[in-house]
Amino acid sequence: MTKSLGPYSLRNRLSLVLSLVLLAASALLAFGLQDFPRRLVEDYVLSRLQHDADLLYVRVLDAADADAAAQAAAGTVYQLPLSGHYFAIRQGGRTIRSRSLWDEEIELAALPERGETVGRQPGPAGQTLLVFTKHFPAAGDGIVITVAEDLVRLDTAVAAFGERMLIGLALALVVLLVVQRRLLVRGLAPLDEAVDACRRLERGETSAVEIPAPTEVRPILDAVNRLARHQARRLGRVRHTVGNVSHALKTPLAVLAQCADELAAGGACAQADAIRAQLELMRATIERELRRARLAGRGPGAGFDPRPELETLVTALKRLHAGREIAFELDISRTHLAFDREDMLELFGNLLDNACKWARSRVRIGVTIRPAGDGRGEPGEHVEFRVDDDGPGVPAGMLERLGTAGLRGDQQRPGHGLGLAIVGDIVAQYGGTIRYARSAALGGLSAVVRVPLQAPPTPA
Amino acid sequence: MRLLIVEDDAALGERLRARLRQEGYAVDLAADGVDGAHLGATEPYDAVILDLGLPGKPGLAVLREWRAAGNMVPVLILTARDGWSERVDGLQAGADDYLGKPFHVEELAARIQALLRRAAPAQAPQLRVGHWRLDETRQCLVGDDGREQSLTGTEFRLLRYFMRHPGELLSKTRLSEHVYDYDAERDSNVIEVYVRRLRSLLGSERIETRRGQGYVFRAGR
Repeated sequence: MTKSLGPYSLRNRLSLVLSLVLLAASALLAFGLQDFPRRLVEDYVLSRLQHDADLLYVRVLDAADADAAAQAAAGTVYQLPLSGHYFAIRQGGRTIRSRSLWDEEIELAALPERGETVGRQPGPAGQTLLVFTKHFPAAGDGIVITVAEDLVRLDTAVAAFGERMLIGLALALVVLLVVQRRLLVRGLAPLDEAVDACRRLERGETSAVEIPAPTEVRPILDAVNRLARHQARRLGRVRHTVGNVSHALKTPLAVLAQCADELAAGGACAQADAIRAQLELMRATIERELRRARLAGRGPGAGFDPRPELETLVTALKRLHAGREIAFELDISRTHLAFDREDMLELFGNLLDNACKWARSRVRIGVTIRPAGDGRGEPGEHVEFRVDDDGPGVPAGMLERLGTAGLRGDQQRPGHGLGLAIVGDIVAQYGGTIRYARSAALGGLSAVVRVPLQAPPTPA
Repeated sequence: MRLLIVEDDAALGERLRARLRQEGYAVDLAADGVDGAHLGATEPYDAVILDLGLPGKPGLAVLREWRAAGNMVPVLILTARDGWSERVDGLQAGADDYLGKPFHVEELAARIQALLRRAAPAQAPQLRVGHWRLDETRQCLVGDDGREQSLTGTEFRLLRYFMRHPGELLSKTRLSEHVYDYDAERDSNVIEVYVRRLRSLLGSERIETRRGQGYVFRAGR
């Protein structure tokens, strides 16, 4: 495949080539149909003329009365006036003409010294004659016999035949062109189905491409399936390993933190604080980096169904914040997103946990699709996640700094200030944006995440 | 109040046990899933701190087993695996709270206290009897006039259990099960001694004796 070819359609290309072949074949056939019948007829007539010429020669050669012999030898058609069958015999300056010629003269081309000539020429009464002239060597100058036959009727018949054939051919060509296009479209349909199936896989609606496919397409789909499985397995492995690393590092950290507490209880507050500060640093690094390593992003097999997942998450959050009456309002207008489930749970979990921490009694969750160009200039169609609470909100000066690693809104409340930083990482992974503002609806903090539905084109 | 810690890391488990004992809880420690599941199913704990990555039997399986058997003991999952999908799984399996490692012990203690409060019949954040208030962090009684009355560890544990279960008939066995841990010498007659001591502090009408059955605590003024 040459690189200058650019994108092209297999279907159009095959269609074009097939059409050209069909047209060429038809043109050839049309030409053949014009020429062949005419030649067939002429050959047939000519062979008869040759035969008649030979017959006349034999009769005239030895006859005492050449004229009578010739007239007797030729059939009746040569005696009816202007019948279309004529002959002329020249022997020693004398010319015998068939009766059918009446008074007409056949214009004879330059007589050959010997041999034969064949040609068409206009005849009497608008006829077109096929003229055969043969020079027989004999005593004296020899005998020149010319026989002619009218071709007008045969020509008309041939022309009519050719015309009918052309019309038939044109019709057949049209039908064939339509049929070939149809056959191509139908024949290549499995490719379209395969493309659709792969798109579904990409959007995360299925975990594997499972459609009946012809043997030519099957290997491609099998390869796609293998890749998707491989990707899923690798993601699973990475997540498992990250989980193990996280577990292996965090439990000792917890022990160290306890030791620091014991030191503090024993009076060594300065040392304890130094250890705690270092521990906090390590914890934050581990947490953030490992969570980042777990991010999957978009990809085959990814799929997130906002309503059931968020309802489950809300139930879990209600348990976590049991004892506080928080009403959750869900406004979800999208059924399926091609985003990774764990990533989305992480994103919503952190946003909602933060909202729950601050909310007085209400948290509102929105998942809506926004068309391209809506909002703040996002290029394509995108999904908007919105989490509002009715808490105290965040002072305008701090809104910009929200989501910066390590910033804790309130040192008195539990939490490590990492949640929103992780949210930022996830949003960045999906090529989206996040904006914090005062919630117009509930008065507290409002977090608005916008993520394009289609993956941004990957730079080559 | 009696707690069970199921944690496979010996250092962390022991430290947690020591720390929570300081907080005035009777604490048992199980180092693997099988022991933990068994203890949780047979002993009457008031709350359980459960690790997920346990040898023998995974924490989630232990939790599901308890819940399937109708054991509704409050469970706090304490784990290094604290992604939100894992949290959701844990809470769906029946956990009541979830804390990621590493953690601040104060936060763990506060969450355990909140869990116990939510699970107990008396859910008020402040426990009061007469003109006394029980200070759960300092493990002493504080009077309305600011006077403080110190309590021994067992007195505190016993009084807290009484105050969380006011008006309930509490047998001596039940009291000793919730006040002492598994390894402690249990002598239900000792309970009588502590009850007598509490009566002398709060007034004898506060703890009613039901002969042959146990005690009923009266919190009202």
